[in-house]
Amino acid sequence: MSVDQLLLCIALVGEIVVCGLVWKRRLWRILPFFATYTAWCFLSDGAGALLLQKYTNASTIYQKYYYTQLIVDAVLQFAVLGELAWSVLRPVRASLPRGARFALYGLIAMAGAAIWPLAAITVPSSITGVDATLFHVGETFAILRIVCFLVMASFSQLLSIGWRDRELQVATGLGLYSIVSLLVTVLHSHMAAGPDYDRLNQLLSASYAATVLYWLVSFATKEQERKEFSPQMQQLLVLMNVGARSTRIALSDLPPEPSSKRTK
Amino acid sequence: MFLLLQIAIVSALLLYFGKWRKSMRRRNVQSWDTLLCQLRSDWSARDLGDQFLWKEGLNATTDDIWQRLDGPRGLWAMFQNARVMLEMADYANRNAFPGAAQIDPMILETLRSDAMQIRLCVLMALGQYALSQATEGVKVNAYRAANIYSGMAARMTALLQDHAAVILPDFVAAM
Repeated sequence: MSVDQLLLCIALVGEIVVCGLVWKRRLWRILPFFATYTAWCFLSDGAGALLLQKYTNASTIYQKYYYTQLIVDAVLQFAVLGELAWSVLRPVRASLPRGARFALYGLIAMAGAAIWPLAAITVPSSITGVDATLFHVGETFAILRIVCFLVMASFSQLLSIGWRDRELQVATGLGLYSIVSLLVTVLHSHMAAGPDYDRLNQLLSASYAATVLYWLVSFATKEQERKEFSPQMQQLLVLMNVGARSTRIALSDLPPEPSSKRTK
Repeated sequence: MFLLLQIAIVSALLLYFGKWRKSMRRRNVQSWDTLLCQLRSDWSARDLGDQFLWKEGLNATTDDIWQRLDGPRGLWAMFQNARVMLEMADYANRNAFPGAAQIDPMILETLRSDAMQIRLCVLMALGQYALSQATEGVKVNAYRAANIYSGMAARMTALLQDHAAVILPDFVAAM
């Protein structure tokens, strides 16, 4: 069994277990696109493995299948990114205008459109035709994922928005895979096809298998036990809230351009 | 050279991502006591009002408040303490037992909104201060942040006095 086959087997077994855990832990309720994505990964990898038993990877049928699954994969990744970003905004959703979710997807699409011409610079001249387009798409998505994670991380740090455990686990896995894929894409753009090029592809496959195994272990673990939250603590929050509301009302009564001599 | 630069950027991203992941994880597992300990103790807001911690609201001009805040230093301390308050809200949301008296989700939403309001006011004030020093706009934003902040601190003191008098001296000292 070759290294590629071994990594594919690990990924396939991991993917089916992750799909089961996503269902069992009801993760599909909070992250439906991610649940669809994990199911898609299992189905597409499984179908790819079956096709490779009948055809070579240079055959037309396999090539067509490969290109199609890459497109679906890219669309699902886009949906998962939007879903994660939206879940980060959960604490402030109430104050967001209607249609904010669609605007978020629009922003991600715009970021992708801005990255597209930049990514074109690094496509090696030795690659042409459909392969060049695929490389370009791969690189664009690798950068887009990183940019999205950077924005989400910095935004949540700035406003001190917390991430729920499951969302954090999904983001950690995707983030790790994204960084490795970006690194591999960067290195690929500086080398010609050969043994080293293939080894980097194996590194990417290994990072994907590691991501799936990380999700497997994370989702298999129950969420953190609830800590004691005493009635006093609840009362504390209620009291803080009541007073904060009155402060806000008082502030809203202030004139728009208060003078420095104003007293409250 | 270009390749080395690219690798350096990716490595920096990896480091940042790891650090962020660690801080988020720490945030999700910390205890209530740890949260209380994170309130800034090297800066005191007791100069904001004559009866800070014991009475809500500010009775001073924007100029006075700016001076009492000690400028950007006080703003930054309020910014950090607002983060702790937000984490308190998250803690409450995570750890309230389903069977017990539920915390009204609106309370948590409003609490988050208030703490974020403090952070945004502080950020605006600090941004303006960096560009144009202590102008009227900076002082107004600082005043707004300080007003919400002093109200929260006063209510917390009242609550601790009623329900957890043992830890009140620590809280008063920390504030």
